[in-house]
Amino acid sequence: MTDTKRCCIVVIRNVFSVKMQDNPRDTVRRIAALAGVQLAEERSADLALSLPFAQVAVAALAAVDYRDADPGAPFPPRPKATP
Amino acid sequence: MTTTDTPDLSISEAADLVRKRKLSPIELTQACLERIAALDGRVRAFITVTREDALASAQQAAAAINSGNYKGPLHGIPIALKDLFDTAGVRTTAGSKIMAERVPTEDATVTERLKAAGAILLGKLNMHEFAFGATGLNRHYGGTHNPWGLDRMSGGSSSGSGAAVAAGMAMGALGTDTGGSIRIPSSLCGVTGLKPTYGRVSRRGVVPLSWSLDHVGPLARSAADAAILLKAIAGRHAGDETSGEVPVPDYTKALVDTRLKGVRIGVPDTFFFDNVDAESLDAIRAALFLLRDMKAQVDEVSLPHSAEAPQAVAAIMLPEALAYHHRWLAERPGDYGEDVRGRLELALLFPAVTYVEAKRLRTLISDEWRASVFDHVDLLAVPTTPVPAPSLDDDDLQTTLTLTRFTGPFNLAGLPAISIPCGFTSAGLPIGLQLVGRWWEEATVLRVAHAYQQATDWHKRTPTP
Repeated sequence: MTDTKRCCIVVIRNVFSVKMQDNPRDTVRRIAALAGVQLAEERSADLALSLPFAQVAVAALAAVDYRDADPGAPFPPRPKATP
Repeated sequence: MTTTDTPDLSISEAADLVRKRKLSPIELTQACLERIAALDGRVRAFITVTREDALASAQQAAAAINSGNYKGPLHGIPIALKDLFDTAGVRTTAGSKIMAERVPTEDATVTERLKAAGAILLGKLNMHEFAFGATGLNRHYGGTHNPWGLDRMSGGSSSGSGAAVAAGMAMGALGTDTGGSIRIPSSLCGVTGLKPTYGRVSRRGVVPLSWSLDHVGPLARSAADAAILLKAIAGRHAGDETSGEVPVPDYTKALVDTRLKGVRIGVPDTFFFDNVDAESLDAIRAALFLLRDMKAQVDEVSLPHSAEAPQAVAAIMLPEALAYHHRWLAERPGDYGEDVRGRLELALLFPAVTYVEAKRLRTLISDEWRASVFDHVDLLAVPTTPVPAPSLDDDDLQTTLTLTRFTGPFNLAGLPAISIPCGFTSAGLPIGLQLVGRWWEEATVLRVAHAYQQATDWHKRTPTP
């Protein structure tokens, strides 16, 4: 557990690629519970149907080559200086 | 002109008459209130109409003008606010049951600035609950109907803002835009709506949806009117650390030069023209031909990472909205409309790493678009929405995703973007053209939009709901 960043990524990848396939309802219920939101059985079932939507975003953003892009860079860019 | 027609004047036209004392703010305000009384039962643009306050403000404005204290082009002009902007003493519901009885004690910065400019506030406008959807259909206050077809949605989340301006119930309005919520109702209702640069307008006193993506801006009948409204509300406020310390130009002065020679307009070669309704596409192409005829240089450009931008918008908007609503979702889930509750629950599925990646994409897009796009062009031109106003029955997440497809990327990039009417479908529904400028260059966006509106009359057409 010394490399926290790597551990988090492993957990997330497992949740989304393995557990979800085994029992999507249970997966979403557990994720919600982790955030303190209790989902009834029918809501877990409905939310499980939305997993592909999240998966598409996760996969699309995981595939980008970010190079050295800093998520905390000043935004938006300042106006060009006028002479 | 009769009193019945006065709400159909532009702000510029009405301001000229008010300044010359040929039209009284009282007469103008009464005409708007009469229009609201006549139409809003069918359109549902308003959540709260502040009739008595509006008439009292109009009387004060008339007295001030008559005594020679004319403040400028918004003095005595009736305006309405999306019910997301705090108004001292007037309830601000955010279109929700959770805030149904909330009465702020202070005005939002933009409310203060409009009042200081002499505007008359007519009331608070309907919206998608907590601005969390693009259809404008509200489970608590009823959905806003499109004045161009009452069986159609007005678009959202600033649904009442678009519908009220289109139907002449208000001469202008303010909205907010997190994934397209100013530009979408502008496009679907046939009005002009500007999302300024991220940070151009303070969001102090505005109920947030997503701090990283929220923008405040005007909806009006024309680019000239949007320029007047933007000038009044723009500029840094110390209460909003994201508002920029950047000088605010006189946007109206920037409209004087309507020549487009030397203006370079980029048309993206992919994504923004995929799966667009055929009639909308024809109207956009016709607009581009006209801009070329007006001597603008129109060329294809590549916009790197456009396709991933909507995913990044979702990956930022959903977790940030969840963070704001976290406690209520846990404690009062039944007080949300089913659609908004479902979206907040969907946000639970977005991992932190994806949120950070989305923020990294924003930086990447800023860097790459600045270097490879906006060094070569002054503006981008794309459709505002892929489709005209959908049926009220099409109220689902897919419709929101469709409507926001071409607007969301510019929230991520924080670029100023305007939607202007550029045609109508054979069913009589408006079509919107979106013009996108460099950061902080709203003046260029407004100037080109105004030049287009001097050569066309799409923005002058009015519905009869």
